[in-house]
Order: sequence, then C-alpha cells, then structure tokens
Amino acid sequence: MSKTITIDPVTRIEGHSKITIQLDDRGQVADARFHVTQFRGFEKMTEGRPFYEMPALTARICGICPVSHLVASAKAGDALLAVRIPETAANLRRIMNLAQITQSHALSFFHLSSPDFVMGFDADPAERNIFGVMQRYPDLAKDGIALRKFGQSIIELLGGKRIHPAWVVPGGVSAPLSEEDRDTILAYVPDAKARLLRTLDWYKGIFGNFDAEIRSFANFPSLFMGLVHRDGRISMYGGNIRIVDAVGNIVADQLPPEKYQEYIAEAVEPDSYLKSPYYKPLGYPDGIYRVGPLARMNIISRCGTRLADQEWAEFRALQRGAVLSSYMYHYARLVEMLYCIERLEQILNDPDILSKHVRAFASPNQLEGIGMSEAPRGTLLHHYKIDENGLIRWVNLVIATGHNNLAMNKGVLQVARQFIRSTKIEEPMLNRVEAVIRAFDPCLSCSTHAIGHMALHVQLLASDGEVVDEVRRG
Amino acid sequence: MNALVLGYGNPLRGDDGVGWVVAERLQGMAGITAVPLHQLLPEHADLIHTAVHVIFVDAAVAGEPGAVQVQTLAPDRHGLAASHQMSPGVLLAMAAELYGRCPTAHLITITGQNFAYSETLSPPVQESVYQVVGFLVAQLIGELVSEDANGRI
Repeated sequence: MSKTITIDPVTRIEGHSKITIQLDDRGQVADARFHVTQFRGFEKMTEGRPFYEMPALTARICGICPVSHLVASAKAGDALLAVRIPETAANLRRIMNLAQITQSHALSFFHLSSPDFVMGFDADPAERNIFGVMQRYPDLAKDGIALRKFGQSIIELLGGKRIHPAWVVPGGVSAPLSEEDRDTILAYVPDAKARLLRTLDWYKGIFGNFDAEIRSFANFPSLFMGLVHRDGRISMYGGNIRIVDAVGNIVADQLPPEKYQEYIAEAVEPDSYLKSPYYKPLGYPDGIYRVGPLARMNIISRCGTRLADQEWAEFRALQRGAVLSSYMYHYARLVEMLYCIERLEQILNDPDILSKHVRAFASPNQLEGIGMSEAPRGTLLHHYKIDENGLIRWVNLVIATGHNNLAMNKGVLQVARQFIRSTKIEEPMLNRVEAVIRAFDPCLSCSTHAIGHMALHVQLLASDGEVVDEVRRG
Repeated sequence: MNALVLGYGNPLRGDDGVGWVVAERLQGMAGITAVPLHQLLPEHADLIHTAVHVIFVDAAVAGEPGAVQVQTLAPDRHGLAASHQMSPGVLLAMAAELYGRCPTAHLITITGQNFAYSETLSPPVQESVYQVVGFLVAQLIGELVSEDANGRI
C-alpha cells in the first residue's frame, strides 16, 4: 500500500510551504515535492503604478533582503530611463548590496544553521537552537550578531534606515556618501574581517564531520548560474550571466541579462506558487540549475580580492570540477561574506566614492526595462513594461529561490531516500528534510528563516487517505 | 546607555505601528535611546545589554482598544526565536548569556482597534500614545522604573 508523508507547513511564521513524500508499496521513498503555497502577487498588484515607485514597492516583498529588490528594481528603472548612471552611484549601490549579502548570510549561517553544525542533526531539538550555540561557542554567537550588525549598520548609514531604505532610485541614488560616514564604515571593517576569518577557521575544522549530510544534501550534477565580470570575477551587482556544468565546464558565458528570455524559461507546477525556471536549451526539467553562493563559487574564475581568493581556491579544491553538494552552500556563504567585506573596503578607499554626482535624471525613454543583480540567495531579475505615461503595464520577477526550486525538490527527494528508514516519522528525518531546504536559505517572503525548529505538521497517509501517523511541533 | 525604548510594529498596518510611533516621539530626549523597529532581531541583544533599563512597546490584540498594560519581563530561553521575529524574553536571555548582562525590562502593550492598511492610529490608540509617552518620560528621565511597575497606566 503506497503512503504519503506530508510536512505542512515547513515554515513557522507564514506557513506557506509544505513537503510531501510519497512512499511505495514497500515503504521506500518513491517521490518528494516541495510546495510553496503562498501567493504574494506583486507582479499583478504593481500594475498601473508609476515605474519610479517600483523600488520602494518591490522592496516590500522582503523584510530580510529588501536591498536586493531595490537594486534590481532600480536597475530596471535605469533601463527605462535609458541612462548610464554615474559610476559613484553604481559603487554606492554595490556597497549597499555587499552589506546586504553580508547581513543576510550572517543570519542564515549563524542563527539558522549553526545549531545543526554545533549540536549535530540528531541532537535533541530542545538543545539544537541558538542558545545551545551560545553555551558551547559564545564567541561564535557573538560573531554572528556582530556581522549582522555590520551589514545592517552600513545599510542604515547609506539609506537612512535598516529596513526598506528609499535611497536607491532609478538613475542612481538619492544622496551622496559623506566623508564621515565613509570613515565610519571603514572603521567597522577590520573587526568584521577578523570575526569572519575566525569563523572560517572554525567551520573548516568541523564541516567534514557531516559526511552523510554532505553526500545526500542535494548532492547531484546540475548546471550552476550567476553573474560574472568579463574577466570571470564574481559580480554581485552587474556583469553578464555565466553557466557552468557539473564538471566545471563553461556552458555559456557573457549572456546579457536583458536577453534572459532567450536562455531561461519558467515552468509552472500545479501544486506550487513558486515557478520553476530552467535553462532553455536543455528543456524542462533537464535544464535544472542552481544559483546563489554555491553556484557563484562554481562559476567564477576568481573572486578578485586577496583573502577571498585564497579561501575560494581552498573551497574549489574540495572537488574536481564543480562542488556539487548543496551542504556546501554554508561554506560558500562564509567565503562570500569575506569577499563582500574586502570588496566594499576596496570601493570605499577609492576617493571617487565621495563624488556628489550620484544621480542621472531623465524621463522614460524606453517602454521596457530589465534589471539583474545578485541577491544573497542568487540571481534576481526584475522585468518591467510601461506605457507612454510611465505607468507599469506588466511585471515579471524571477527570484533566486525560484531558480533553485527544481534543485530543492530534488534535494528533498535525495534526503528522504537517505534518511527515511521506516514508515514511522522520526525527528532526525524531519530535521534533515528541513535542513536541506535551509541550506539553500530560500526566501518565501522570508518565512523559511526560522531558528531552532520550524513549525511542522507531518502526516503519514495510507493510499485511501487514512492517517497512519502524524506529528505536530512548533 | 541609560534607558532603551524599542518600539516595534508595522506602521503601514494602522494600530500595529503604535510601538513605532511611541519610539519616534521619544527620539532625541536626553537619557533615552528610542528605536522604532519593524521587528525584534538577534542583533538587538547587543544593544540591549548596554542599557540600564529597556522598555519594549508593542501593539496588542486582546482587550479594549487603547488599553495599556505594563509587565515586567524576564529572560526567556523558550520564547519565539524565528529569524525575523524574536520575543523580548529571548533577546533578554541572549543579552544575559552572551554578554553577561541583562537590564531591567518591561513590556508596554497598547491594544489596537484597526490593523488594516493605514498609516494613522485610531483615536483611542492615539490617546494612549500620549499617556504612554508621558509615562515613559516621567519614569525614564526620572529613572523611576522599578521592578514592581506592573499593572495599568
């Protein structure tokens, strides 16, 4: 008799995703699906609004990574204005984006995932939380808080507030950087760098303890996608798309963001509001690819900053070709945070960063605009069409979590096959199913960011719908 | 830092933003650091441990619109600790365990009437803002917050 295990909801706050695991007649895992059941509707609700409102409106998509939407939206606005924004404005946006990635990665690594690394995946859930981390490694917990604060403080200094700053606008930014604020940010850098290097040392000493998770957490061949500069350096703000395969070969390079529809298509599944983008030349679902920290580490030729390049080389030596295990997203986040800190320091040390010319003014000169940048979780794209009055007619948003949807589904299936030993629902399985999704740090309007354990409702159903087993928690 | 006021809520959802409004009214007053917030976050533990007193101000759902409640808070390791929403008790526990210092802490709640999309407070809640701000100015600037300050204003 076949059975279905349903984990509903996966999230704690908004509860808009669930997982179903289908067992066959022998009790073996036949299939698994990650469903996102929430509907935000920003693509529709912004129709009719003036295009220049879009950065502020779409930043409301997310309370954790509003800056990412601000940047991608403002870039789409730049395209509508058909202006080349001042380089200082682009650099100021870069700094804010780098700060955003740092604070978001810090939340993911230190607050959401470190309890699993410190206590182990089989530990009592009552102990496997941030307080457990604080007891065993108080300095690690403090470093997490300090790095969050580092990123948030920079965003606040630049944008005037931490959440939903309105400083990034089509055409540039609304105000230049003062010398005092530049110096304040630079003064934060040594401490942040030291904390990160300490964390990297610690993590490199322990991540190998989780062989089973490394082997089974979405560890499979796929494509990887992200933005790079022309010389192959990592690019969090601009550049063009590069795609590499599982052995590290470049499949496509320097693909222009504005032609994304030529190489990316979006599939829609009836059981999820999260679209499933795929690489068009390989079709659906073979065109599965991953984005975000792991993908970025796999696609680039180098980071372009001294310490991050050293760490990147060590990371890439983990596996010939591309690093395939999604468990390594955690490690990749640390390398990226180091890059972000070094890169924003580089930019701030350029005297031009204090230039007062930070905005290009124009009326709309094009009726269609596309903006792409790297968000903490991966490549983010905003695509707008407007009418002659500058009012939005059509919007398409391709978010990082969507790019990873096919990979998350496959990862849930892989973990389920590895860890489900019986038709009885057991805590270690539940935690690992959550943890494989958490490795991607998906942003379902932030709702999958949950410390400790998420609210779960798991039902084991017989094929006739009878509840055979059930677990609730949270 | 003498007194820290963390007022949190969503100022785009009517009375849910009452904590935000209270914190804004207190900004710039001597002896008070007032911070309007959308939500409580892990890094606020770092801010909290440097204060002598910390006052959390939030909207409440239960009770008569405009009703004000004050309660003493203690560290709580088992409170809500989601990534973008932490309970005051959890933050106090983090401050105590990580930094070895937890200030005296109180939670002031004001019962809301309207939580629909709006940037204004309903009349009874607005009235309570005046009371709470006056109370906090008197208590905090006079450093009169005491452990037995529970109850109604």
